[in-house]
Amino acid sequence: MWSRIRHRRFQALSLLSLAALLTTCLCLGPLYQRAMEQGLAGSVLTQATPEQTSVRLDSSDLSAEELERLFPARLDPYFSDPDVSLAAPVKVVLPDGSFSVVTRLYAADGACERLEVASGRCPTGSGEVMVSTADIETNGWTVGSQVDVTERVDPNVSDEVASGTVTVVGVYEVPPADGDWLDAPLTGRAGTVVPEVGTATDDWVTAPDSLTAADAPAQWHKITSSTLWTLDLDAVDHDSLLVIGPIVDELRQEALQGNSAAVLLLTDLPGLSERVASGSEQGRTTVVVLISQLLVLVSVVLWMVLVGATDDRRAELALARLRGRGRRGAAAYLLSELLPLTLGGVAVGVLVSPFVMALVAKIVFPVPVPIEVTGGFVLAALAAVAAVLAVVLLAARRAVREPVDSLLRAVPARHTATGTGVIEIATIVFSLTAVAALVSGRLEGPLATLAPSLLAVAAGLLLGRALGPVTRFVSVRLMRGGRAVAAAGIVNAVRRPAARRVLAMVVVATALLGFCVDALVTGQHNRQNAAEQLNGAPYSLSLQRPARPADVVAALRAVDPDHRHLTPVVTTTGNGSLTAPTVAVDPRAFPRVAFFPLSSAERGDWDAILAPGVDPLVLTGTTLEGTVASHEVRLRGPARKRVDDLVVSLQVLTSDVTTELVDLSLIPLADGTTAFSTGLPCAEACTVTGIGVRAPIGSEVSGTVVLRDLTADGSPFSLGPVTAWRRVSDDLGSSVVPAADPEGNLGVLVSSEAATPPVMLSAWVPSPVPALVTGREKGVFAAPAPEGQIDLQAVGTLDRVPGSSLGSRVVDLDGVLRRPEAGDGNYAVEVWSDDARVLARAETELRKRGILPAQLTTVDDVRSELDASPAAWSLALSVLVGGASVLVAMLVMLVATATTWRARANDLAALRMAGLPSPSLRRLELLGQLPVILVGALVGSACGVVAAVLALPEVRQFTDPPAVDTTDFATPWVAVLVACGVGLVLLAGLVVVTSRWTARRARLGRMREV
Amino acid sequence: MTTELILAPSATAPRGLAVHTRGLVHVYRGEGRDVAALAGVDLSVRAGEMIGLLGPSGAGKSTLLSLLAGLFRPTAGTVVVGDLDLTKATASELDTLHATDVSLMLQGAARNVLPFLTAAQNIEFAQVAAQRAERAGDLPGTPTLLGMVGLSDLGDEPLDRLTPGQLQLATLAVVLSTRPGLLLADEPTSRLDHEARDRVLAALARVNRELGTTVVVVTHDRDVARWMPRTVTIRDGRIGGEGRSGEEYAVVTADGFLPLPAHALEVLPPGTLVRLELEDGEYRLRVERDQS
Repeated sequence: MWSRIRHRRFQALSLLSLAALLTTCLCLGPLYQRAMEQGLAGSVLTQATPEQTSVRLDSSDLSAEELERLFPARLDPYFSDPDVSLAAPVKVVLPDGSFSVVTRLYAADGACERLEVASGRCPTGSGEVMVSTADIETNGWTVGSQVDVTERVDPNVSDEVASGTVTVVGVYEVPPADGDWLDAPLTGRAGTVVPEVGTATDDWVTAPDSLTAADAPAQWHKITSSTLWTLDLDAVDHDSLLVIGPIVDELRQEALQGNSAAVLLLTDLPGLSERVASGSEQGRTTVVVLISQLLVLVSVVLWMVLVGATDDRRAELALARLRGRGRRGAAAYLLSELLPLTLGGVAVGVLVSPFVMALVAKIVFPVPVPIEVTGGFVLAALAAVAAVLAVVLLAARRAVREPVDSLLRAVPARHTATGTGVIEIATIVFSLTAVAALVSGRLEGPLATLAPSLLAVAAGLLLGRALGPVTRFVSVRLMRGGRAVAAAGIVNAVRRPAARRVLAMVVVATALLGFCVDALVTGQHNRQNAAEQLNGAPYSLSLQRPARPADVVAALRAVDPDHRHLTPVVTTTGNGSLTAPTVAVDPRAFPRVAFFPLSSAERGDWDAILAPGVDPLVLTGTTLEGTVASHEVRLRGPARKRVDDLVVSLQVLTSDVTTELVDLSLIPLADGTTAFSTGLPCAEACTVTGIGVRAPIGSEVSGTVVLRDLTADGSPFSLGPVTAWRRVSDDLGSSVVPAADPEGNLGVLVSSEAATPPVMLSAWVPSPVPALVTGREKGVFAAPAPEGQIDLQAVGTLDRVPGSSLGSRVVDLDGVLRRPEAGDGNYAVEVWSDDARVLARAETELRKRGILPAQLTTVDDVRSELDASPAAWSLALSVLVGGASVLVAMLVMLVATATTWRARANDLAALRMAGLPSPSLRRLELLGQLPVILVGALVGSACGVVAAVLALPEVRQFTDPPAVDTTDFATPWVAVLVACGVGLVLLAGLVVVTSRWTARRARLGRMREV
Repeated sequence: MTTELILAPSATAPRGLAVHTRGLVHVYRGEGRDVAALAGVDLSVRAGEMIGLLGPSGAGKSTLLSLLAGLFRPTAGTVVVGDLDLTKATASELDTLHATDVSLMLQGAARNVLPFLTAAQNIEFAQVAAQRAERAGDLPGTPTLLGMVGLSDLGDEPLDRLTPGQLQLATLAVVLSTRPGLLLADEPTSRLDHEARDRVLAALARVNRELGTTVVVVTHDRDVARWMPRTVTIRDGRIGGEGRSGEEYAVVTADGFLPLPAHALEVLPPGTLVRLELEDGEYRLRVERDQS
């Protein structure tokens, strides 16, 4: 056997490599799937907060021991021992006796070990407490203080209130590094007001005896027991997470349906488990489809190579038969060489695949994943053995069934040509039908990734059929043109049956390469688009509530006065899911800072939404004096006699950007004047934004009211010309129109059908607020804004609003802040930037102004999260498939050379004997292969691109698709062309090397028999 | 280099196998047309005889040799080797025949050996089936065979280092390794120089003479034919004549036809009327000159 292998070591190496490749492909499937599952589980668990991964049972009815008994024993291996805490809500009177604050008496396992005792000691006995340093600073306790505590119970539940006295024995701090201590006492509440509760302070840590012992300060009516099981992340993997989720869910169901005792279960493990399960399922399908294509390709190639190998041994088989070994003996002779080689290849593949997987895992997965030999891997290895055995036995059977006289011929008799033709035509028809089904939408989902193989198989086989006639035609033309060597080379290309097989394989392999690169790059592009859309900008800093937009704007302008790198983003969502959010930004900075995936900043007319470019009417002073002059002012209707309610007022925006309405004076009826003097909240300068006329309810008012001779703190003050004001009307038919008396003093021409007409606004205030919309809004429409509902006017469109949901609209925050509306809108404030350093400066500035950042997310963070998904990992497998397909194509060519080089060298030697020089021989041999490879690679690449256009929209790009669709399936031409170009160069380079190698062996000595 | 035969005749192996063919016809089926390679060959070779099959290219010599070797079945007629009718033999019987009784030496020495083995290894390879057929005890050893063809020192040399003559002798050792009763050799001396050719032919003659092996040699070389005690000329798929001890004979076929030798056709072109006359106990052909 060894002598045979040595004799054909090149071929043997190819066979071994192919069998190894086939096995690696097969084994990589389960390995990759497993790694993906583990990667997904690891990623989900890593991204989850400790609160989400722990299980917490709270109850006021059950004791901690009773809660522990509820916990299923099956979960014990995955969780640490439970931490128990007890809490009783109490009120304590401050040392100065001014008022009481709300806190909890809190006892937790290991509190004394984990807390830092700043002074005093940790409580050990009943009635001893330890308070936080913030509590000390805010409320003034001292170690040794005796404090009366009163139980805080819901009066609807009980009238009995326990009370007692505790002693402060120490002061604690929660170590900053212990953020994952889920049983840590509640802090950060000292001096804050908790809605519906009142002023609160941090937990008072005490010993359990203070709550439960007989000598406790009081016999508390309501003690909440809490038992917490922390998930041991090292003990949990994909499989155990899928087990844990449903068990915890059962526990939740039991808790919900629990008898009389109220038990609250806090965890997100069932959701995490479900997410991992669905992600794994999704990835599995794509992996199977991608790997199976490669597997089929490698199997076909292995079959081709084995057919070539057995053909190469036909003379030896004939000898075995002539020496009386019979068909069985001949088969044994053949298998004794082929089986060890191919099974050796299987062994190599089995051994190598975990290492390949480890390499791939390092590149693909964001978290370290263990490479596990699972049952699937063993099955895959066995399947590889079976597949290799089947292919080898079939190839051997085909050879040994050939009659001896046929074996003695140089080439086998073509008695199966008809059958082969039928199979080929059937394959072409099947492939084209499947592609047609894909185009018509009947083939979808992961199966769509079969498109490149199907299309390429059909194209390759059709091309193979056309190869003969075309090359004959070309060679005849070349021959007539006197280019005999080129003609002979081209004819040589198709003379051997291997040429068609190589052509078909090159087409399929390059099609897979083109498709895989297309799929990979498209996937990356789409995830990048989605990340940009989700995060909105390179850096997005969310701010803690309450963060007043005006303060944020001021801070940002201080850092970035040129509006280049920072923009505030205030997103207001109305009540109800049907209302699209309004995004208020800095229109100068926003187009520079934000991402516009699949679109561009230039798409929006940003100047159109800028707040009016008129100067604000600044009023500084604490007293405003002047005269109100009426002209034909009439008050009608049932309330016409309530003249004391007819008032003119000034609307100002104070320095802290709050709108206030300052009543100036009563308005005389008919024609008259009256002087007024009123206080102003404008010591630090206000901006006058409107003039209002307030009328009593049930009246109709009309006429002109003029304000003249105005002085602020004695200095003359003008409300400006008529053009500095805008007419305002409302839906009830009321209107206010700017007017002026002959001296040019500003007046208000008012006409009201209802009680109070609208406020006449300064031209500095936008009304309605211009907006860029993404929906179908036209004209003026109402929308939520940070300070309440406002009128927007669609002045332009955008494809999408970065970082926001469907139907969002963009307005100028500056303009919105000039508006007089006041309210508690449901808004979130963020700062976006394209420059990390500028953002850091902004963060410092915000902190200075008492605005605390909540979370910074970068587009890379979001991209990483999207990358850590089965959908992304499945597409990453394309790299392997594409690379392996080129490797397979190269192996096919090597094997074709290995099995035919002797005959080719003999042909060339005969031509050398006929006088052909060496360069011509090399050219002839090169021309014999290069056109086939070039045509095959070009057609294959085209098939890959076409298949990607057809199939990629069916391939899932995201595990959880984002709400705003930014997927783009345009062909990434540069990447595809580069990949196909590299593939072509590799294949062509190999052809050059092998043809020169063969030509070098065309020595005249080959004309001898051995 | 000597070619002394030191291979002793076997007690159990056949001394030589007789060959008989009757009405042997073989047609090659091609795409669009059939070609009759043999058109009724009646040939008898006695056990232990050595004959040469002569004839031009395409006459059917190699086809006849292949049929005698049982490589395929004839279109019509019978082939009997020893006691076995090859046209009725099972695959197993044919395998046994090839393992023990009939050796075929293909044209071109390289086609008879595995190129990656040495001569000695090729002999071992050739003997495997014979050993399984319970003839192990009768099989000659490798050194004996190599010595027989004068390649004692070259048994372990790679084959590509042997000269064409040495390679053909090595081939002869291989085909004799199963101690066959019938040795069929297709152009065993083609592409050999005279010296090598003579050595190979001498070896074949001695195998025939000293072991009693029936030897059938296909050749188109008249010089080679001179080494054969009996030659049979195949022409157009039929027996065209025989030569014995340098004399040429026409052979009457089983159905009474008498093919004339080629050179006679120059004198007696097709359509010539001849009269067969018995004179003094001998038949004479007399050409009818006046054919009007």
